[in-house]
Amino acid sequence: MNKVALPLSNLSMGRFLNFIVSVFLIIPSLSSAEIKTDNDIGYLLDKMSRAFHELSYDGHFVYVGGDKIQSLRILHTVKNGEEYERLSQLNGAALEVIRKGHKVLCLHHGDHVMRQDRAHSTGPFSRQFNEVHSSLDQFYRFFRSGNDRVAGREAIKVSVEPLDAYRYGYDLWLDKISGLLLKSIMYNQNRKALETFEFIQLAIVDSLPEDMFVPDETTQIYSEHYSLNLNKADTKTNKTHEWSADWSPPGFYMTVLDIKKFPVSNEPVNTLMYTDGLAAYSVFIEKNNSYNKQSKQSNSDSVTIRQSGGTFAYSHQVDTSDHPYTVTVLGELPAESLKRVAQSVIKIR
Amino acid sequence: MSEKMKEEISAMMDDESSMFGVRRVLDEVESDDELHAIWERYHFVKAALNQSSLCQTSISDRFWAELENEQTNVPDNLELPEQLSDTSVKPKLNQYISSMAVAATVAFMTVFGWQQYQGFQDQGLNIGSEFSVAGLVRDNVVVPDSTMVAKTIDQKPFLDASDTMMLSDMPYSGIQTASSGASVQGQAMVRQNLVRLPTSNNGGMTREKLNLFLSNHAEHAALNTGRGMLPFSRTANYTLVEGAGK
Repeated sequence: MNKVALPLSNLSMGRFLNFIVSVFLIIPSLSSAEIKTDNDIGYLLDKMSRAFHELSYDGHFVYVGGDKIQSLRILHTVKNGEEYERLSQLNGAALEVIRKGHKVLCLHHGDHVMRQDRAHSTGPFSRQFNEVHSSLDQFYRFFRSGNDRVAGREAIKVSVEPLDAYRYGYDLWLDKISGLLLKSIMYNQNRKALETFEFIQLAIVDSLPEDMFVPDETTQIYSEHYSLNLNKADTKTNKTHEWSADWSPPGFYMTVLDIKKFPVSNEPVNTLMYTDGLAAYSVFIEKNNSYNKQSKQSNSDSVTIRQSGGTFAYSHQVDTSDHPYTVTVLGELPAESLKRVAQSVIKIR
Repeated sequence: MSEKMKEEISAMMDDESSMFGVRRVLDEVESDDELHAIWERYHFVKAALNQSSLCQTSISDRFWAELENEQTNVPDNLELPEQLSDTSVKPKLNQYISSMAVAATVAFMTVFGWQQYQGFQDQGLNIGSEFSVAGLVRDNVVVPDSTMVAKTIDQKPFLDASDTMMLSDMPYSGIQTASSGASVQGQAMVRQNLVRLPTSNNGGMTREKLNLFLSNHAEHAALNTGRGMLPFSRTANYTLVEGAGK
């Protein structure tokens, strides 16, 4: 009777043992690498950030902020290394935001406002995320909080808890395959949801045609804007700017120091923008020509706070030796944080 | 007809009969006229003892009879709304509807009032105790204007006593105008101190300016918080002002 020759039968006992040992050594290391990848929050968040920039996708999502719900469509693709992105609001007033590279167009059909700007991207959720992720650990606790399904896709849920009272927390649902952010909820410190983004339909494709990123012909565009962007060294020293915010929540750093001109005012607006990588706030300082110093309205008339969803805007008047100014701080932070920032704004020149 | 059957009827009316006994009595009463007469007599006696009436056995008949009776009690000088005065039942229906409306409103306000209370309680915790319900209930001043500000006066560890808060964009407030006091939104107003917003005359934060700032901020957030263009959807949350930018 012919014996069936087993592959291993040709191996010597020594080689066979080596093979077995290798298998037992390799399999656990592969397994641990897999587990480490799945549980490595830095890797997941970096994957999320890269997915937003590198993938081509066409999706519909809802934004819920406060008592308002918006439905929007987002398109994104990359052509010759340049990003093309288009966001269209599907209900209410027509609004489109189109981005090519770092050039952003905001098209409001109703009021014909366009913004065109050289933007800055230095946040940790951009490509440099891994470099600063360790510092984010000082201000947030990241942990995986399960698996879920969003827009028909398997998702990994990541919870982000703030470690101080200066910022909000998040739950993030990341696409298991691509890493794309499928859903995001921002919470206040009582775990009350302030705003929610959630894809309801998403198609990740190889590419999208360029003509999908051309504004409608019916859109009339109005533009009036100039920007005096300062280089990065200046943003660190603040020395070329007239204004400075002496306090910012720990972990936030300046990404934009700018002087802009807005269509509603003839006065230039000093702009300071900060981020910690997850949240952002912006400071706008403008000369207040209509403020009546003689009658000197009470402070109650000069301080306002507005809120929409998770976005607060705090505004107050600042008297300088030469002129009164209005300082407005706006961002996705608790009102206390924004107020403290606003109160720390001083004129340095 | 046996004495036993009379006892069965009596027992049934005293709720002392078994299911089998009830079934048997009903079958017998249906087929025996004399027994049926006794059945009715017993019920009249019971009704007399209970001071109720069996004259109207139909609920529908009793309802219309009461409506007729109600109509006769309407004072002669009562002027009915023109559109309701053409039938006899409408005044009563109107009264019913009013009662139902009041009851529904009370229930509705109770539920939503509690939600508003919870919403503001959370809001207060969110941005400091200065916006707690206790603080907001004081000094209710309602100004019928489309731009409202809540003014909190005390218990403000972080914000100044003079700080003001815009309600028109606050979640859970639902307030647009004070004239909507009869609506559900009006519930929130009793919990807030409302004063007139010092708008553009003091160079403050006008809505159109806020929209521009928000748009600028969204651009910044889109590029620095790893969420692509999603932050731009926040700008849609604010009402755009016609003519801004012209």
